[in-house]
Amino acid sequence: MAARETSEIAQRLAHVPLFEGLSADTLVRIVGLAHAKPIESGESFFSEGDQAEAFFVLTSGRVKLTQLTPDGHQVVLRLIGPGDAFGGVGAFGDLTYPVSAEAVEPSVALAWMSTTMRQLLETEPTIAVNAVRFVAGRLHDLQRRYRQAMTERVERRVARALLRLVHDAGRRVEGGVEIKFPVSRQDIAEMTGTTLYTVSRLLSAWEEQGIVRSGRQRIVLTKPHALVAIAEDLPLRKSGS
Amino acid sequence: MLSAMTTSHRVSADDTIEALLTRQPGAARVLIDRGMHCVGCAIAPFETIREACAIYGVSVEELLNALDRPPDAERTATP
Repeated sequence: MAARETSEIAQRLAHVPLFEGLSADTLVRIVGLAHAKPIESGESFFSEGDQAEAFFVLTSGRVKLTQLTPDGHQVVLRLIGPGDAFGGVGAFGDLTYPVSAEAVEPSVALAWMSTTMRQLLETEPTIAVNAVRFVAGRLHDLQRRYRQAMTERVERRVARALLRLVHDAGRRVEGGVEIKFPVSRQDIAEMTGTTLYTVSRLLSAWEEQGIVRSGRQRIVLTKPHALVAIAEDLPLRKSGS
Repeated sequence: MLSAMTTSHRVSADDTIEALLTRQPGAARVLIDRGMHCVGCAIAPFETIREACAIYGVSVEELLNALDRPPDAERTATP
């Protein structure tokens, strides 16, 4: 690779999170440790599930990162452009790629083998710090999403409990459908394996959205279908509800 | 409230979904074909056909007409 080309690429690498804070000389050296991999449109750098043995930075072209969903659909998670890194788990080996990386136009990427990266880690501790920071960020993100998923599950559980109560012991009243007998938030908490706090929070939120109206142990579903949509995770239809 | 002064149907728009499904088992197919999730819905005992149509954006008249038709013996469900 011509010296000028190398230093141009090295400059690009400065923006890759893993290489942040490294000197220009180090970056040039790092470029030298990579091999350039060109592929045609439609070809892949790696597939989901492959052993992750290399880490990539795209230097030209465009790549889509895709993943197979549990129900068999291929979804595009991210589009990679020149200067972007991908295949991060391949930087340190031991794992498989969680996504496939397919070129949507003729593309070239610099690839570093995980063995090379591990050696580099020993001489460039900054890379290790960057890696830790990156992983910590991802973990934080995952925890947030997990909390969200758990919250959604609890919401659905409570919605389903209210609907069961209404189905078995409900009646139409002015403005909605009411649970015929007194039911406290504590009762609902026990029925759904959650806390009084959570049930209160949910009922308050739903009340604000006009979905339920609750008084002392009295619960009326004012928008029963909105609750069904929550319970069954349905896309909300026209606002007849 | 619209008066019911149109052709008379097998069922009334003011019947509940549950009553409809009990009296006319073939009605489930008719509802599903229109994207109505009424079968097994907790609210079916309390909701009228008219109300369910409003929720799902289905024409009451069209639905009542469809319910009038005898279930097609040769019709198979779409896969």
